[in-house]
Amino acid sequence: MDTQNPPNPLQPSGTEQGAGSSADQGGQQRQQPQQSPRTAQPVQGPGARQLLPSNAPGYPAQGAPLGQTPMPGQAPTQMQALRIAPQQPQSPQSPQFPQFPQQGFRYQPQQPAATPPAPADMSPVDGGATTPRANRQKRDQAAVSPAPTLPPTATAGATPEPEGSPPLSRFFWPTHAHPAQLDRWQQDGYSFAVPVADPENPGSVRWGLGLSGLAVVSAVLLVALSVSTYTGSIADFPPSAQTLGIVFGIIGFILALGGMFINGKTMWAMQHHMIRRASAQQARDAQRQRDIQRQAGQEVRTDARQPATPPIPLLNDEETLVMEPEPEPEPMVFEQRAPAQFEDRDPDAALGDRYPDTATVALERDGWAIIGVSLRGLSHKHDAKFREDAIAGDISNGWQIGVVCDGGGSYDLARVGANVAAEAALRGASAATNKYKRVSQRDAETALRAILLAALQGAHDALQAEEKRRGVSWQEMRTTLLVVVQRHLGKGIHALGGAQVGDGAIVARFYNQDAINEHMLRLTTPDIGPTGNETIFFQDVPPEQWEDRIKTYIKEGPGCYCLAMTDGVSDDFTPIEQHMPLLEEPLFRDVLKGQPPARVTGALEQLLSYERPGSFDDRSLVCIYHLGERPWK
Amino acid sequence: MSIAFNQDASRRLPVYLLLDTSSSMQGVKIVGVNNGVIMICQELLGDPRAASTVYISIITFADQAYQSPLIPITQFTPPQFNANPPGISGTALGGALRLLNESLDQDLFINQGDAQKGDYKPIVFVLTDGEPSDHWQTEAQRLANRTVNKAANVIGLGIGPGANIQIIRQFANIALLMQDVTPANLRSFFAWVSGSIMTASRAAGGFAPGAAPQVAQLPPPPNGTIPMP
Repeated sequence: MDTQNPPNPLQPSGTEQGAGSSADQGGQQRQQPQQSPRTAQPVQGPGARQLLPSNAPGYPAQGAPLGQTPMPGQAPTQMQALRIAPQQPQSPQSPQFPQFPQQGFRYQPQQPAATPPAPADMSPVDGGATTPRANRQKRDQAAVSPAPTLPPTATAGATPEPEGSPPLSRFFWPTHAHPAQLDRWQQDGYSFAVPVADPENPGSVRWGLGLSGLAVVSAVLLVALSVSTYTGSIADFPPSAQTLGIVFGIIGFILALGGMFINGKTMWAMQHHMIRRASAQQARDAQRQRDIQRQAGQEVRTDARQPATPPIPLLNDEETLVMEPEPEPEPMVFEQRAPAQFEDRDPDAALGDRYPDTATVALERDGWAIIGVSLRGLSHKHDAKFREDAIAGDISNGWQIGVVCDGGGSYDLARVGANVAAEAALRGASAATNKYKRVSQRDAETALRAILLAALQGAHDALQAEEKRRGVSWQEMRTTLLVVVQRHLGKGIHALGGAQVGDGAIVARFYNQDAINEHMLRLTTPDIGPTGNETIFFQDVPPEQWEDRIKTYIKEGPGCYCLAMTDGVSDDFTPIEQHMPLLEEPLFRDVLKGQPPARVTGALEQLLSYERPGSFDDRSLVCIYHLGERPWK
Repeated sequence: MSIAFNQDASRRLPVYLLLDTSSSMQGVKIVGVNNGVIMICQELLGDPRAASTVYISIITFADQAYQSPLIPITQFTPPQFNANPPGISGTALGGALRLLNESLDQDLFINQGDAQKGDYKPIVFVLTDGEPSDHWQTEAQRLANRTVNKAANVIGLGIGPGANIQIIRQFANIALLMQDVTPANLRSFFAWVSGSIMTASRAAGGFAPGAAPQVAQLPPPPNGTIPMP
């Protein structure tokens, strides 16, 4: 096969089509550069064709119709692999529109016939012209013979109404006429009334009504006879009465049939009469228009060969219809443009539970500091939503405690849940430290676990209280919860603990006396679903599983700092062990520099406002560090 | 003061459009499909979140199935789709589903625990106006029973009276039927598609397990379509 010219998958020869040719084409494609392993795999099975490598040469330019034969050496395009629909010459038999009847198509009434006016004495209905073929011929002739188009109504006052019109009664439209014809009449301005009798047989209605009445009388007698027999009025049912009943029944049936036939025939005749009247009225209007033109001195041409009236389809005469499909939409043109940028919109002023765009935490005590920043993400700014992260921090009884929460983006009260959980967890943990003002290395792990459990319990109780207060399920306040607790036990011994439900990360970094960073420790394990947008929330974990969520460590190291962050930060630095230094280094070298946290919160906000494609979630970070020490310097 | 990222590992929202280009799609339908794909691209480019996360791949199927690579929406230029000429019959839905399954297996990143967060759950839209002419059951079952890289939503749209909605329902968790195929209805459908994609792209805030197929969070079905339970 010619490797320079990929085969036309729509080649009608059939020799290269179908599953039978996949191997052949597969051989061809394997000679092409491959973008991914999958592109080299031929797609087996009937109806499927292997993919072409995306960087194979000889593909149409971007936006060009696919299938155009590429020029050798032409630059590859993004749609290289889409080898559908090469420019196959359209079959002349290709229907532009699906065949009738087809849903999605509608009848369009023929435009008002533009036939030249006919002599007044011409019969308004050409009896022989009502065949479909004749009607088509007339329609074609009419279409090429434009005529004056003064609307009949516009000249109605100029010429008196011809006499002899039968009395009109506007009680129904000719519903048996085809809708297309009705539309045409309406567009022409005609209004129709229907005589209540067949003009050619005026007595038909009387006959029909008479027979129907007799049928009714016969039926009434039959019913009366039957009721009398049933109720016992006629105790001994005589044969004469039985015979009489049968006779009444037969007579009633015959009369009913006769009445129906006559009435139907009358109705049919009325419809035809109405159509003929329509034609006649149209002819009169044409004549009237011609007279006006004559009076105005215009030249009027008449063609005796033309019928006096436009062709009028008979009932259900489909061949006289002009079926036009729904017009095809205009093909759109793709305009390449730059992607839109995020905008900063404020949330609706009427919304409650308002939280500022930025939250900060800055504490220092006993040589230790906690700094934290929570920023509203680009996505929430663009959607005019509130920040749904929350942070909290405290230094209590020698314990440093940091909390970060991330409200679930798909829940209405996520921001409430995050803030309630963060504050309550901090309160719980801080209260628990009262029992552990002094702690030995041996008891440190127990103290850590108790403090972290108190944090989880505090968040749990607060969320449930909020549920009762608001009358809203706490599931609507779903949030992640990450708590980090740290205490320097002295002599370079650090007690570290973390509790985590949901995504995000809690890490600790140890460094030596020369401030050279050493190993990193992931304190907890995040909850990450099989795909990127799945996690679990604090509300999803029952209390009996909290113990599994708590990790404690007693580590020795001259220096140590801890970071707790939501996934808005941690996801940008995965794998954490590999990429977190990209954040740590500027954080400690350029922002903190061992300074008190109150001075550097602005710088931390600036640092966390980094730009990264695909990163538009809220970003929250809490850092516990020792004042005066400068790792990563 | 800035952070020097040395790699682009942003998470992606894969979107697959499976489009029927068989001969029965001639006319209004294929023009509507072409316009619809263009409209989707323009709509998504107008949403900064979608523009930065959506990756798109188009799989067309007529007598055979073809797929375009999964590429960022910002780099995607809609091609012009042509329906098969009347002489060439066939609707290789099975082939298209096979391409889809293979792409889901090989082109997507899955979460790797702490090391790497994977792509968002992909979204699949299938549009067809007829019945498949190949063996589709195996691939449909494979798609419906996926556990790894399972699509968040497989949305099938049958257009016209010839569409077999029963087949679509076997692999789609949202099946829609458009009985009256008009340009306006097709436009509404593709507008709904782009709206659904943007809804999914806003899901970066996280879902609870099992709630990821946010069927209820998608916009209501477009005008002119009937949800088939």
